[in-house]
Amino acid sequence: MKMNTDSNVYTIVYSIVLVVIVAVLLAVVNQGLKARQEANKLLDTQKQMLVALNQDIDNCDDPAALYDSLVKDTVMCGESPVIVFEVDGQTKYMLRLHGQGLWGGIGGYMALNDDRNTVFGINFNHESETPGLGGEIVTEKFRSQFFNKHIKDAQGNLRSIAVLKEGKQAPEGQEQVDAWAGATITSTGVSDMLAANMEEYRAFLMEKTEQCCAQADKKCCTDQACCTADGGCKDGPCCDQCSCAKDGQCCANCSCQDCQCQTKCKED
Amino acid sequence: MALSKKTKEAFLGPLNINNPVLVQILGICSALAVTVQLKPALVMGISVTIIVALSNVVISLMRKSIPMRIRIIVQLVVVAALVTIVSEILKAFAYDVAMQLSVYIGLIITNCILMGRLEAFAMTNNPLDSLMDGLGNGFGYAWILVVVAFVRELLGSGKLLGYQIIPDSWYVANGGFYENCGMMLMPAMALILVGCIIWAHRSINDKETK
Amino acid sequence: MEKFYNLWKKFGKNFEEGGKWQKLSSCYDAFDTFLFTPQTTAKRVGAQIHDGGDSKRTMILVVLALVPCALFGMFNVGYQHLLATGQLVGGMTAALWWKAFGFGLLAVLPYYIVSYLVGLGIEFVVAQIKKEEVAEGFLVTGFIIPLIVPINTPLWMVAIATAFAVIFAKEVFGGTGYNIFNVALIARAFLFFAYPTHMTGDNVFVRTGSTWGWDSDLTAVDGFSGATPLGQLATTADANLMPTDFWTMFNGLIPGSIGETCGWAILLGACLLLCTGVASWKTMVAILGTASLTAWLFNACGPETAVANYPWYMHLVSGGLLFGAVFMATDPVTSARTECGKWIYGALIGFMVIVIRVLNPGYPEGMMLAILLGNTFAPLIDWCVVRVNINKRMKRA
Repeated sequence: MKMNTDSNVYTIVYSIVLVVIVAVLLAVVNQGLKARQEANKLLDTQKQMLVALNQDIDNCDDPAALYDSLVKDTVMCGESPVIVFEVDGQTKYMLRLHGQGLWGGIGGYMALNDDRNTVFGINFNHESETPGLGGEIVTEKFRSQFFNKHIKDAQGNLRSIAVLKEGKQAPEGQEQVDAWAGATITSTGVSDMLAANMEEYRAFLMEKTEQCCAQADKKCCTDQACCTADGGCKDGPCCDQCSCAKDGQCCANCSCQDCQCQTKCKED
Repeated sequence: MALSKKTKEAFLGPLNINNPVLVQILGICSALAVTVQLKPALVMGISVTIIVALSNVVISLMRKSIPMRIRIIVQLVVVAALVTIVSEILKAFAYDVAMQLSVYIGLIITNCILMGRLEAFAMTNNPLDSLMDGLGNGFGYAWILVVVAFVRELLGSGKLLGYQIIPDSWYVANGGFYENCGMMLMPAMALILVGCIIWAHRSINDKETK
Repeated sequence: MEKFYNLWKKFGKNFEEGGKWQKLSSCYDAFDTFLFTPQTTAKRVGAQIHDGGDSKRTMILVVLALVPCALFGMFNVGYQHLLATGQLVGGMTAALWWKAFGFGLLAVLPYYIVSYLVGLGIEFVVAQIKKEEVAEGFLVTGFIIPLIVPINTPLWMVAIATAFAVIFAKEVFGGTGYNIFNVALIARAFLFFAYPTHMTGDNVFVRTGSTWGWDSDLTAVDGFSGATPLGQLATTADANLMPTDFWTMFNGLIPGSIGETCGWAILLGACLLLCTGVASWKTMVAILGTASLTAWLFNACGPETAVANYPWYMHLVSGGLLFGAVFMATDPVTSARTECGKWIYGALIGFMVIVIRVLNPGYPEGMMLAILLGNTFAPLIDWCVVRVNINKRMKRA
């Protein structure tokens, strides 16, 4: 039976059949390979962290096992995870970095020493930066510039590390590394990423408390504690951060839970 | 089994006389984008070859049943499906390469060579010839990529396939005099290189036909 | 002179049709027209006679106009060297003056040799292949290239850049007179993009090391910075920085590319070119005027950066703006041809150079790119001007 391939009915039926077949095929492939892809992705993440810990990945037969042997704990700072490792008897804190490059997202992991100040190691990755230019942020040459740099200045303020074109000078107190020649925007992206992520982890880095506030005006971390303006937690009753009932004024004796006054204002 | 003359020509033509990049001037964008290093260029060349060959065969098998009015869309759907599958397979079995080529694999769908061959050849020829044509165009594209990437990586980073070819001691930073030519990392230079290859290609081919 | 001329002409018979060395005829011809005025005139049409003015003579005029810049540049190289190595601490003496000039001459000479050898070499080869005359356009280009590179550029890089520029910016398009882009600028642009660390920054504009073994045991003194004023503006966080004053900039004893710094030398050259009618005053005025206007606009309502706040008259004497406006934008082959077009072309360049300097932190000095952009648009500008003219005349008819 010779079908009229130009008839409307045929065209519509054909399209439907084609789309259904393709959809099924793609779904099957995706499901079938999903497990492997997830495993690959996890392994890749672990390898990145191991690189940030200056472990020799290339000569390692089983990175997953190495990772498991080094990792100790995960601490949350707001919504950002800090992964605690123990390398050669010393505690290292792994911060996750994420930001924007030239063509797409960039990210990485930064390992800090116990003092929450000195950079022990760092690793970068990117989605779609230009190979040979922005893509070179993953190289040893770029990364090694960060080793033993400090994210805080001499007075203990959180400054992050600047990535600047060769010859430019960072503001007083802030340490810097050289940008990659020819990859200006990607390098700026790295610089901005570091600054933004240091802010994200501010409370953890400034050691105000074991558990930290993600954002000062949003939530309190523990009972009876309130967030201060720079992301730390303050013990004890806090009135300046709570909203209390009387005329918009805080009463002297209110206590905080989730930044709401739990006790109605009493006349003193 | 002797291949017919037509089949042989379908394969050999695009390698030289009818080269997709040099003569048909197709697929230039990816020829500029992925050739900064040799390894992505190789992977891209192989991926494009596989996809062009496979989609040529598939469309050729389907050609009698495709409604004329939606044929471009059907071709696109088939190609998109194939590319997605290749991409998924790469992510599952060769994760680091997949990450390097992440954007470009998806862009194969828009590669003019693909649509060009499907429309011009696969729609009107039998599967075997289409396969040969697909392979020919794929390899024709691939060898151009390899040549350009070879020059670009060697002169732009001093390496080939990641291995340092130009001795470290030559570099200015290490006390020598040499510097990598940063222009080689730019697409503009890649275009000039392709132009030079076309120049050489035409001179050689013209001499033969004279 | 007569005897030499006759001998030369006899020697020339070998290069004519059927002569022994006919294949090298364009070589002979090149030297012939260089040394002597051609004896031909154009065909007699009506009442006009046009002398066989070979464009070689025009080129010689441009080269002459460039000589002051070259001489000053050589002195400046030496002067900056003496300054950097602390030899001027006791003040300038006659001996030191000559040392400065000598040092600079020896430093700059290799660049000239390389530029001419490579460029003319390629031109000669191409001319033999195409069986045409050797075009003389490279006389000027070859003289300019050393003047627009920093003194510490390695010679082999200059060689590669010259080769690239002559082949891809000139020969590929058809040779002298057919190029779209200014060839010397393409060489500079190539150097800039291919070897950026050698083209910008603090170390490239002053030669602190030795030249031909002279002063080989000296090093820079502490606290020395080789940054150009524009370079300083681009890297500073101080929004009101004034690296130096107007007259220091105009006199030109500052770090910079070899020939670009001295306003007086450029002015001399400009006078020569304007008086002989070789360059167009319209282009020059348009560039300087628009640049001033744009700089002033940025002063008034631009971002709060040092470059944006840099006064308009300082912009004019910084970087390669003057040099580019006088010698490079006015190149007759690559600039607009119509008189009205020259104003527009100049305005575009003047506008872009300031925009690039202020808005792009990656390129402290924007003249090179601005002129290349102008070159790109010149044919379009001419076409539009002609079209408008034709339309106007058709309406009148």
